[in-house]
Amino acid sequence: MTPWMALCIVVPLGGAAVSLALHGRLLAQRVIGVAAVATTVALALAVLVQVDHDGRISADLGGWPVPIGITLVADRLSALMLVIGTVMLFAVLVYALGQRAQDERSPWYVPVYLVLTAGVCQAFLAGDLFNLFVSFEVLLMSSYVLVTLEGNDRQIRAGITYVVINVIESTLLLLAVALVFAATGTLNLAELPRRLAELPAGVALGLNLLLLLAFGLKAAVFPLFSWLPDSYPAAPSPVTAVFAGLLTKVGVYAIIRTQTQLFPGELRTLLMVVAGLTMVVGVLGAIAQSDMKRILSFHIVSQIGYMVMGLAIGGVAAIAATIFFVLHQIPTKTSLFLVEGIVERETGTSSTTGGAAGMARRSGPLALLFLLPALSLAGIPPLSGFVGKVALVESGFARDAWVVTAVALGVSLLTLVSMVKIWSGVFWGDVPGRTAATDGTLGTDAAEGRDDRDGERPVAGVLRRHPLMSAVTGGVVALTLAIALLAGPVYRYCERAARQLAVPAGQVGGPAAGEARGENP
Amino acid sequence: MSRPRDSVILTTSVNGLVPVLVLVAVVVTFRGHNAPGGGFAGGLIVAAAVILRYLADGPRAVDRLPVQPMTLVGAGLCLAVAVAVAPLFVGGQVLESYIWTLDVPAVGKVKVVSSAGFDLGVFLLVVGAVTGMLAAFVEADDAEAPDVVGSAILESGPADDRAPDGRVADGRLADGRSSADPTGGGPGSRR
Repeated sequence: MTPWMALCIVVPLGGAAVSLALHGRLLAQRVIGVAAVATTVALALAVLVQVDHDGRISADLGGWPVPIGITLVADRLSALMLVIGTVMLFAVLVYALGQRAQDERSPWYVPVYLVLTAGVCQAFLAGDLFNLFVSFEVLLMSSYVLVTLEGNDRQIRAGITYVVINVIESTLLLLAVALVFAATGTLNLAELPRRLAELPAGVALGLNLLLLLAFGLKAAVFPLFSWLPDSYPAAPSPVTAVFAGLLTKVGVYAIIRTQTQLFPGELRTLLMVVAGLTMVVGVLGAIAQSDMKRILSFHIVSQIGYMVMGLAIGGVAAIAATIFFVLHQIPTKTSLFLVEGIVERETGTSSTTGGAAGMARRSGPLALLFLLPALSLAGIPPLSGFVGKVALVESGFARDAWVVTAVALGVSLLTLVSMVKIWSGVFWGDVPGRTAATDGTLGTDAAEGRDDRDGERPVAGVLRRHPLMSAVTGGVVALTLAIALLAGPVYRYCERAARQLAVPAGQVGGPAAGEARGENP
Repeated sequence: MSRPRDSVILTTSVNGLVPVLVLVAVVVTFRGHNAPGGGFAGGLIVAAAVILRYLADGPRAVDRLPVQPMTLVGAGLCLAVAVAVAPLFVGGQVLESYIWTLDVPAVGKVKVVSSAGFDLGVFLLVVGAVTGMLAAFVEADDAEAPDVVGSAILESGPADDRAPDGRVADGRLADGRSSADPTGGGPGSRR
């Protein structure tokens, strides 16, 4: 048994420990932070390679067998999430260090961020419900700190909403976990499907709904989403980026896990309704906003709807589409927030009603870095969002889920509308306080390539002023393009992952597997 | 920094209590291997001792701490992680525990368990985290109303043991609050 999985959690925790001990030495902290997360990325890749070869790997921590010890399990879905998650965490960490902001100077940033990394890794590798709950707590605790890192009034206000809603979520989850244990006598995800099937239908349904409620709160589905657009925008941009890209997706991951493996296809109608409403309400909320960060935050909600939709449609094809969509969504969403961070750094605002106008003129490349993921989000071919949406829509048609599919298509259009709103408010137009006389060719939308050279002349190199931030943003955007470019192999991997989810696990640890070795832990 | 008013009863009983608490904490930590207890509980008990010291001596209890709380947290986490990873280097698994039985002359057989190191790490971490929180509150209080911080907590207790110099302190507290923080946040709000 290879220790890669356990090390995915231990390495960031160890990094957090060392960087805490180096309290006050920022440079050393940063070096350790970057090194630890980079190592975690490498470990995650090792897990992915091994999982794709072996199918599913598990490790009993400390050699304690299943009913006593903690089991880490990685299947294809968790390995994929692990890799994309750690890559995003790495990118955002480097970006944040490149940002000369307050959070980067805080001695807390690196240690807390590393704990967050450990929590995310643990969530994806958790082999039982309780461990999943614990990892949610680990990542939530650190996210509380990150949300309120600057400690200004706005953050504290938003932080209170965030903390309260998440404490409620944790309580519900703990309650659900306790009830599941009371009803079935196990929390092992591999063991549960069999035991849950023996329960009376009503009990199983109750457990299912309670788990869905808890995870739905975390994933911000309708009608449990209103905390998200309220709290995320208040956090520093790199923090929002990783929250937007990852944390809600951990909730989605948990929903996928429970709805495919524990309660396969039981709540299809409910999920369908939730998916449709999440998409519509999210996108309408986005259109009504006039701040780039808030628009993007509402879009997190809207896009979650697509993932739930795939889950509601059910079947291997739809689940594969969902997994692909999550994979596309994480870097796309992250990169949009990273671009927003640069805009905010440059102009001091992220409002779409002036202030930040004319970014395309100041920096064409930056506009391009926004445009690509924005179009991808709306599902314009040939970007990754298009592939994901086509797959979702196809599986919807194949299963005669006409209404929700039609809603999904309509919401795509509205997504485009709100992206255009950001584009016209932030990137297009003239730089405020500077007349258009500086160049004659008033920015035509088709000419970003040429436009950037025109726009760069007056205010030299927005991107060059923030080299690290720009490089990271560029890298993440390149990753979204790579997902589109390699859509074939990536999609086939997603299909393998979906097929694996369709088959109940059950291999890890048979009933009452073995007795305790040695003595009590 | 001296507090204007010390409660002799509290100081005396804390002087007696703290060593006992530390001893209990050590016992609880090490019995945790086979019985209820462990590093977390032990750490909390030591932290409670530190808080008692603070109640008796005021902020100087925190200033006098030999180690920075965050260093403790870091060291504790380092130790726990090291113990978790160490088995990998001898061919075991992460978090695997080893048990050695030693023959110590005059004592008899002593069982040494490697996972006790993990517990010790948790112990340090908890002590560090709780005292760190305390120190942060003290700092915040110091910023708002220097000198009278400790008494603000105590004054939620019986109010009739005020010595004449206590009145002086009270007056200063009231003054400080009215001039610096009219909204009555900070120490005042606790009463």
